[in-house]
Amino acid sequence: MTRMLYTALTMKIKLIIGYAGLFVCACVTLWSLWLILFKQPPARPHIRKYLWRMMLGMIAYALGIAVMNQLYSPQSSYKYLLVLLPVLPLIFVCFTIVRAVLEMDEMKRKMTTESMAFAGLATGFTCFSYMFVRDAGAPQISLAGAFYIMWIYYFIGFFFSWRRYK
Amino acid sequence: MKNRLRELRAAKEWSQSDLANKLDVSRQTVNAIETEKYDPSLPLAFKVAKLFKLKIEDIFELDKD
Repeated sequence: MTRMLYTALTMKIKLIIGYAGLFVCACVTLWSLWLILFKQPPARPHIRKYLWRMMLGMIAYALGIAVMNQLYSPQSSYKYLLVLLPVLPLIFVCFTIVRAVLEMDEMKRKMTTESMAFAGLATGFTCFSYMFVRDAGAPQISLAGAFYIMWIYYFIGFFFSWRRYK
Repeated sequence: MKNRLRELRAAKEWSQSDLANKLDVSRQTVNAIETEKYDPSLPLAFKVAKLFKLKIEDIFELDKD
């Protein structure tokens, strides 16, 4: 029974982190490559640097997922470390995004920072509120949902910032 | 904050894009400053003043209220 549960968990990790992660990696990498090669007028040097770094981070993330999926075994003693392997490139991606925001045009930086602040706080409050709803008997929602909710809030925040300064 | 950016830009016959390129910001930033929806940072205000060879207080004026 436990072994079946482990197998199901492994499959779930492979499916969710694997395919969704690879899809995001492929989208970001192809979009970055398109911007570097074909955008007219060409992107500014600091943006090109940011795009190269994002591509590097995404490729490292994809490799991390591939290695994790190849080596993961529910019995191995290092399985938790292995599952966290794709997270390492994401730390690099986080620093890349923060650096890119710092180098943005100042009004865009303000809009992005306001949207990020709104998204962070709204996601936190939503998750916190959901805990009460869940304790009251609402269905369990995957933690991954918080990531998507954060993006929805980010775009809502960006829309209002954009309207304020347009 | 009130400013004379539109008037100064028009006197030089520059478009918003021209001014944005000279200040190394986006055209949207120039537009937002001109319509007084966005207050520029101090370094940008200095850049604007230097570009028009004026003092910052000759271009930007704090609202009285």
